[in-house]
Amino acid sequence: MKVYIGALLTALALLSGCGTRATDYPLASGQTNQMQAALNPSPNHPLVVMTFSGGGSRAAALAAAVVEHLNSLHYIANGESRALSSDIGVVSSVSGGSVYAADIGLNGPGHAGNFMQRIQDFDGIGWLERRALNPATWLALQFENETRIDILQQMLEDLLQTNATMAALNQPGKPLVLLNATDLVTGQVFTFDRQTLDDVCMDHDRVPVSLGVTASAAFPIAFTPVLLRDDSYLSSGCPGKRNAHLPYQTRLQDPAGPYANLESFRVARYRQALRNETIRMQDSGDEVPPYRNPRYLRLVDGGVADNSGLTSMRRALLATGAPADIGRLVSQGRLQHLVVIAVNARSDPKSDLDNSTRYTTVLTMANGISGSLVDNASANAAAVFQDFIKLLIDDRDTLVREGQPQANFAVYPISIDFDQLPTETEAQRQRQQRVKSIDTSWTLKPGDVARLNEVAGELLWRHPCFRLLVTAIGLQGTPAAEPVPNTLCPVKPPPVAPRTRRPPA
Amino acid sequence: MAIVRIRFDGGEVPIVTGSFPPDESTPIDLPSETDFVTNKAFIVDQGIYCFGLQTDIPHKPLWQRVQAVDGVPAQVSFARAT
Repeated sequence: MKVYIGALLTALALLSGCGTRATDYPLASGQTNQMQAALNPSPNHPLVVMTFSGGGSRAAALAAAVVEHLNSLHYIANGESRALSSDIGVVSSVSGGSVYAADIGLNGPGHAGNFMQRIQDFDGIGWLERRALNPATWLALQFENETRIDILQQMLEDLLQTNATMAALNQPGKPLVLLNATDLVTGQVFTFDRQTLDDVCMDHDRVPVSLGVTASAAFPIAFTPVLLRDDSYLSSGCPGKRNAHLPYQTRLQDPAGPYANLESFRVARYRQALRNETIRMQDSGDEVPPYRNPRYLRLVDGGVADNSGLTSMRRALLATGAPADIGRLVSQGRLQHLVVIAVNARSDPKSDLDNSTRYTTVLTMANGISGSLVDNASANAAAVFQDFIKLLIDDRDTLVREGQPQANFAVYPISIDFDQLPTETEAQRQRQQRVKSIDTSWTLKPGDVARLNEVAGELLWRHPCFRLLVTAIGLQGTPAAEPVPNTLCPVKPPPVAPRTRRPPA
Repeated sequence: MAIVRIRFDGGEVPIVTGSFPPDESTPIDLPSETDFVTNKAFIVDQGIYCFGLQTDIPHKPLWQRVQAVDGVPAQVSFARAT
């Protein structure tokens, strides 16, 4: 492991260009960005939403392995066998998880097996070393204003075997993919979706998918931030015709905005800044300018704001009028089974500090603090998401009580987390430690993907909420593990049991 | 998540949302569809909203401010204009 990290750091050090070129795909004069079509799942199928955490190659491979298991699970709908993976409606990802999120967005869930093979065979460190030792790279860094982040983007294009643009993502029949980065200045989640790119006056369809993945995976310090120009700040304003339907402004127009919902107020304020708009206050009529003027945005790893991807997922499900607005799906009776699968490749890295009194250097401290901050942000996002599910369930019960039977649905929150592996025996503990220690640096050891695949199946089948789903929709597949005894899915069931389907005898 | 109910004596019509107009006599400019309808409770995120109706039936007011609060159902009414 140390050899790998050393090699990676050496390669990165050799690639330290000082480029300052901002990326820009401006919306041309009079041009519009088509907004994302609404998600319209069939009420006869479950809606599966997934989050892919950070954790480099380990996270990408684990996410693909979970989807590969969903490929092998089937149920009967309208007399036909259907894979559970066909029902993946939304994917929210950060960092390493975004690499597989891009793949599922471009190629669909059926490609998971190919991706697993690709990532097992890919040698990211070797790729970076070759580039570092290539004089052409030095010239590009010196004279073409390139930086380390450009090199990472090229590596990810090679790994994903694509230079497709965002126009190829989020097409009918494929999940809505939300690639999330962090705005270095504000700490806000920056999602590479149609709305946000429209806000910064970018032509969504020209933005390379690899740019979104790179920003999402730009591990701070190791890689320079992705630098975007916000064309909302051109002296003549955005030349294109941006989306003009802006209900977000109500949160800023009303003095009660920051009291009614501080988080959505801050998100709205961030949008206002990206769009460079003034807001007219409702009571006084005063015009309020943006709270900051981000002419340039520096985007780093999405894991800095939330390494789970849950924040962006929750916002996608919450926002009224958004493509995946859960309120609309409930109102239209499109939801019977909501399956939330949160794939988390988090580990507990071993530290020499546990057994040493040696002096704690500034570097060691910075490393520890940054790790703790990322873990805390993710834990907070998970707690907030849990609260969101609870409130959603309470509202469901109220609507059903008030005579809206179409609002009845069941929720299955399924976490895939190494901490849920059994650890009673020494062998089990060693096995858990082995998967937690799988490299994040895009060069996996032989057998790593197979190990992650085995664990993914086991974690899925052990989960009590997954077992509940199996029974509820008559899911057919080969169990990879026994259920955990005497364990209930910790979510309140719906007031009326949703339609249960059984496989034919 | 909060529950909102918008009553309208003109029946079931689509609800729209948008930014606050400058005064009560101005309708919502560039309203966005919500896919919610009147006289049927619906779920939204906690926060401040400006809701209007998408209908040819004359009604008042033209829009309403709603504060949606988790666990506290909010209710507002629109009436046919005579």
